[in-house]
Amino acid sequence: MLAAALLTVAMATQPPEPEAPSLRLGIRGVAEQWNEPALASVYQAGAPIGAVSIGLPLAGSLWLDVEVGYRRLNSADDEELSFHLIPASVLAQWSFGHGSAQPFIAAGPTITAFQEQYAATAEGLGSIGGARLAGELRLGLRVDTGLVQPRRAPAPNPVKDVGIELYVARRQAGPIGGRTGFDLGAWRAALGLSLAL
Amino acid sequence: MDETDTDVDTDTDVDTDTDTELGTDVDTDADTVGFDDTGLSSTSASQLAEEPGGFRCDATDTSPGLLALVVVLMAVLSWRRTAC
Repeated sequence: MLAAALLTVAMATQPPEPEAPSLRLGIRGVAEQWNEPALASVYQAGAPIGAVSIGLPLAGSLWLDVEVGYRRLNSADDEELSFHLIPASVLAQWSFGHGSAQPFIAAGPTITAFQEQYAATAEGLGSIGGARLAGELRLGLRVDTGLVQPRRAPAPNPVKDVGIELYVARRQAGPIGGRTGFDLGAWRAALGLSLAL
Repeated sequence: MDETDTDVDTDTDVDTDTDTELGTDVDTDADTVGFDDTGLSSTSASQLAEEPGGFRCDATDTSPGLLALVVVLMAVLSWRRTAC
């Protein structure tokens, strides 16, 4: 009887289990090193890219990570030459481990849109653009900064945690072979900040 | 003396090559893309890569990626609908 009463009291005083986040928003700085030698010749071999991300829980430790970035490159030799790059990815991401630092692995399809602008030709053409599909494999770590303390109802904190994310990844397109065009495969490394809501 | 004359001819050939690089190549670029007012060529990355532009959709490289993208999106939409 006494034991049951003590157990009841202990359960009543135990802090509630933190509510699982239902959304994760992030901003990331992604350093990319591209495969395409033409980009290195005219612009740069790689560059940092600003990106935003949205994470949606799928099941348990499995999340969907959607990331979109943007970068504009300018030619050092010709001010009329510029290149716009928009890499986007939809990756299934699995976190493992417990505690404040959680490693994760992610994989999925990506699409990288591009547009190059140059001086108009005699035909009036001033740009060329397109997109490339590829796949990406990502390994990373998310660290909970501990900046947010969970609050009990009726005024729970809408922000569940603030995390620092870092990852390395490989974006790989199929072999180009004898065909022409940009190979937008890349090595990627990112550092970001995320809010779990 | 004969040998000296031959060397002079060789130098002339080198000059001819130099003219070709600075003249003919520049004109070719100017006819296509990226010619500025200074007269210097500025080859674009699209030219170098012979980029055809557009959404290249070859069965060999993009269809698996496109299929994976569609499958992932459909799975997420289905799951979200079920959860609601």
